[in-house]
Amino acid sequence: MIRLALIGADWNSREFAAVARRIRGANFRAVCDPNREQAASAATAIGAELTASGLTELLDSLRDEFDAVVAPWDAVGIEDFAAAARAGKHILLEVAGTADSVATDELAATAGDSGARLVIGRPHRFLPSMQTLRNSIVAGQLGRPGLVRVHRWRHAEDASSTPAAVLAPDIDLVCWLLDAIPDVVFAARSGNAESSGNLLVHLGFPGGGMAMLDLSDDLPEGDNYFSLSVIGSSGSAIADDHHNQQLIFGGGHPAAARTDHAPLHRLGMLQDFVDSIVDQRDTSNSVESLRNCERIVVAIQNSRESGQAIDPGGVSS
Amino acid sequence: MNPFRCAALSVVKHAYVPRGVASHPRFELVVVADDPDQLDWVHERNQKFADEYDIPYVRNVAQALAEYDVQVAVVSPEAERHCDLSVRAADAGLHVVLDKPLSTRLSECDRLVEAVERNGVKSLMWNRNFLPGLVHARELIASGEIGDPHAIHVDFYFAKDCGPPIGSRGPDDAPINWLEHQIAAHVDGSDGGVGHEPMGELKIEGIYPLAYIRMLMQADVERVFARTTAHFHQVHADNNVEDLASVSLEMTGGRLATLCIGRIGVASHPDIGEIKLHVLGSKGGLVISESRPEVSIYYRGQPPTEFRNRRIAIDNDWLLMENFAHAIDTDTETILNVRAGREIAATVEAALESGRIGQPVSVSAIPDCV
Repeated sequence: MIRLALIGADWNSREFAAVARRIRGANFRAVCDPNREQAASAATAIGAELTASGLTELLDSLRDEFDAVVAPWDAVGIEDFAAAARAGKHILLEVAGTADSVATDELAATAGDSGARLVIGRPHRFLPSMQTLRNSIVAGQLGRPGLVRVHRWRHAEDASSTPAAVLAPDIDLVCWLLDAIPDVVFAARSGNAESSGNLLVHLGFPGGGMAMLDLSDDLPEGDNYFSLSVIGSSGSAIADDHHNQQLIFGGGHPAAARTDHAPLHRLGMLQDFVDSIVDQRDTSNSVESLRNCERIVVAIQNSRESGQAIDPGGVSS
Repeated sequence: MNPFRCAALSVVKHAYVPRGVASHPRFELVVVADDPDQLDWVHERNQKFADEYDIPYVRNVAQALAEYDVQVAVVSPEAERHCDLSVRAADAGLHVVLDKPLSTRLSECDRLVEAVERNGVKSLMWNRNFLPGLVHARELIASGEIGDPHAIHVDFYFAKDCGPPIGSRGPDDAPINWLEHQIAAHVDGSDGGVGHEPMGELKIEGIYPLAYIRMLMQADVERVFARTTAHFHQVHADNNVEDLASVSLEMTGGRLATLCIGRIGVASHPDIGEIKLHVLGSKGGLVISESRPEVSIYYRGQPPTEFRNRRIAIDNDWLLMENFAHAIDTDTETILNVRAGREIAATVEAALESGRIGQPVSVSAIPDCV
């Protein structure tokens, strides 16, 4: 049984709590957080017995009580992760968008030297809809994927991220589904100058594949909207919030609402990590995907500024 | 009020355009005409349509226009002849209804725009702008529901097959001949690209989604970036034209549009295809399925190619012709005249050029002399 330590008590601990008992071959053993009260509360929620104020304390005083660390990539400094890696602790580093690929590269090397495993967790890849889509591609049901279209519309919550960075998880999804890296990037923006993000990204892939992604931060407060479709040479797959809406009648036009499901993407990501340790296999969530994503985000910004199509292979991340 | 007398000038492609014209009580088909030097298959199709409507087929366009007292020409030949027949009709003082695409050559489009405007006749490019979903979208935008629209994204995938799948040609097989393939495809109505010159999906069907974009955004396309490929069908690969494309459109007023278009094949969708519009405005957004409203029909023994969802309340034909009649009556413009059709053709040309060179391309404006 692999013993996991969760770094950061307020970091999706509710979602982890919902799936903690469902992980095969692992359980949560500890929670680290500078806020002891929150750490204790999260530990109770996910069934962990131990708490610590941080990863350093965990390594100093409870080194033999856990085997692996689960954390968002910016939960602690990269040196702390490196210390855990040197101690032989496996690391699941969740990166939804972009991260410092140079630092994570070095971290991967450190982990490798001590026989530990660094896995980049891409939670969006484990969404039930994306898993279903991906499985249909892998099974050959769609033929050769040729076009991926993504719409991501939301109410602006966090203006600190650039629109390109917000789209990074979707860019990762596109590359993962097409199993390719783009060789051309074109980007443009619409709307007024005050809008935080209305971004269009158009990607071309070697061999003729293509993708289009659009981001809007201009929705009024309320639900977001997401749609992803894949057009293959012999089939298509469509995951669209438009299709998955239920109607609620309360007078006037009915309201539409999505039916939520359990945070199964968290379970999938954790299970993939645990299985990769047990089976000693590589996962597809490599550091290389971070590097590619980083380059594409830079190319998007360059394309927007220049008005030209950019080869992301020619930009330095 | 007497109906407008209409001449169908060649009916070699789908007959849906003259049928659509005839669906409105103010328009009456009185003759089918074409040039005498056309090939047998052209004459056969023209004759068949004339017989169906119990009207004469005259193998001389000028003679038919002179003898049958017509006011409207309904033009649906091979793509290369659209403009020439239309110019002759306009020069004879006839209003013109055209099948798509406007032409395979921008110079021909310019010639037609000049002829229509010089003669003061009305023109209508056949389009789908009056489908219920489009009418609804236009009403929602006009009412200010989403504020000022600044971006639109259109998916336009037709779930039609087009001969053998890509990669199926053996090393000793000859490339598929475009025209022969299109003539054969008439049986199942998938011959939208009939003509001597091979055309990809952007040229054949692009006018529909680009007309949506034009109508809903009320803006002109300035610059285009596109990716194009033959992804599905051997006939497209053999003839070096695309059956899948994605296009980014930079429009006047800082507006943006995108179009994903493809002939994705029957297996890829339970209906005619995924056709959807996403519109973003300053106050919100719209997601519109072009196919709705529809009714789902399932039954034992249902043929696999029969659509499970059937569109209902489709008034597009009648509304197009109502719009055309109104334009004639009030000397106003139609919902999609040949000048707009020429701008769409220029957008398509720019997209194809962008697909070739891998960089954005500016859309060519109509020459000042036109």
